[in-house]
Amino acid sequence: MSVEATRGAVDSVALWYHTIDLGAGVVTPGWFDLRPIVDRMPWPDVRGRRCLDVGTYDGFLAFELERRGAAHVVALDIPDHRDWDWPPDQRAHGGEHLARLAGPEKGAGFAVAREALGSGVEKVDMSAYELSPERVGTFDVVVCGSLLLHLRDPLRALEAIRGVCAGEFMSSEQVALGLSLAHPRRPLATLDGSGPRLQWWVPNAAGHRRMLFSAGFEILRHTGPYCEPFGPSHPARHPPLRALPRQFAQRAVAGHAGVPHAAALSRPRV
Amino acid sequence: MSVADAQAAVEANPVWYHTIEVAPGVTTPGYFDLRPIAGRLPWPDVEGKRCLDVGSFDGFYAFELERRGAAEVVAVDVEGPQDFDWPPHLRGWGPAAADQMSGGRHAAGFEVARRLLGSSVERVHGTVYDLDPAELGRFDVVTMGSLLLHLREPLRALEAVRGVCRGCFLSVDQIDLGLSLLSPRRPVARLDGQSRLMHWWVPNAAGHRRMVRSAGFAIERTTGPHAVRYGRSHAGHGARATNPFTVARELVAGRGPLHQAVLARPVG
Repeated sequence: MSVEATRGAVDSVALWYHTIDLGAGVVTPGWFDLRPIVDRMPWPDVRGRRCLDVGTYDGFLAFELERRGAAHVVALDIPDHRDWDWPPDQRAHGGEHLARLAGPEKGAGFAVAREALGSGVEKVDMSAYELSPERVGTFDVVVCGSLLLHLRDPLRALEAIRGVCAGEFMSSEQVALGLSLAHPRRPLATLDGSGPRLQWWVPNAAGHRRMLFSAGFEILRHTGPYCEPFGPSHPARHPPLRALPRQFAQRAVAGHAGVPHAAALSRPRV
Repeated sequence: MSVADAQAAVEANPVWYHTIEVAPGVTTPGYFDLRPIAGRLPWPDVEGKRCLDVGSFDGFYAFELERRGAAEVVAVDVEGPQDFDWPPHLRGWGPAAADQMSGGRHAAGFEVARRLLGSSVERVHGTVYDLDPAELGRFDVVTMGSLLLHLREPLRALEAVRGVCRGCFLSVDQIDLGLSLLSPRRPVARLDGQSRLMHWWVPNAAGHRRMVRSAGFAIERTTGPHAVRYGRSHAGHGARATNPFTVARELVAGRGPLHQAVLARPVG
């Protein structure tokens, strides 16, 4: 694919979620840019292993698994905007609204990036809840990023992930920064569950680790809170003045302005 | 049936969860005693209504619905402890341990109490997640007490409740006092998910209301916090608190786990 053709394909995608370097100076204008923090995540050794990325969206973590030497990578995502866990008051129209914002085809960005990268990642249309060894087999390494907060039943999803994880599971999730600092050991979560933002439970860092534990994982190592930076197209990239103090605080505590995250590497314990 | 027979029937049941007066002067030795707060809950009018009690256990709320004049009461509870939401590490031996305590008959007290009260509440086995309008029909009034905290997926459960509710929903559930005071408006929950108490999410008061709302209900009235008193079987019954925080809490809110009651209606 020529650089011009790649640029054209990137421009044809209505909304990029991930900022991905496709080579030759072409970078997708994502809402989030994981590149500065990707090495802060507690990666296991993935070389030669069979790997799964749950809730892949444009595929940043799946391509990263491949780049790190995975033998085989499966990238899982829901095929349609209507398949998100919409709150009841949004269920009738949420999918259509999102389709207007993000384009009708849910996996368009992934397909473009995959082709541009010449990647061999295999895409599977499935929700995290539906994961089972019968349907997808088992994996040496499973990763999941920024998905749990969008799920009404995150512990059910984590148990389904455990069911297909034969080795290690790396989970990187949004955390409530204030609750993480005020309650470093007590597992807590805030609940949204209303409106179009598709956010349900956002735990503090201790809550994120407890979610993994109570889904049957043991924690091998974990990070402190860090911020996942906004990408070029995120509205908060150009914040109003009143948002600046918050962003300065985030920079001071977590290194970047963005969405506070914490990550843990775990393995099934039951 | 004589009082002595009633007493003998109560004593023959190894585990009582609810404290229920099943005959004059005969009260079941439950873990919890809801009688002091029953009158303070935001009850809807149940007279002549078709009612459902979810997670009924020994049936306190179901018999209360009947006493308040419901035309028909269905009480749903799991068939046995294998259908509880056990944390993964307790799933192997937890159900067997619970069966051992209850003699293999979960909530057997319900049938004893029903007989002694001459009640016609109908018992149905099933989990809250499986509530299905095609099977049970829909109800004018649904009650659910102290169940959400024992569920791994409380929002899925609340949506299932909404699916069988065509009138009012009374949710009485445990809340965390400290989080309610620290965050009066922000919905927050603490996650257990590991202890033998089988607690999962215990929200603050705002969190309990948000859970109900985000399952598609509009809230009409809220009462509480109510302390649900320990019954005669509970280790906390009669124990005296020495921890200053607990003493202060008991002075403010009463003894026993704190609950909030929410009366809501399905939206849409």
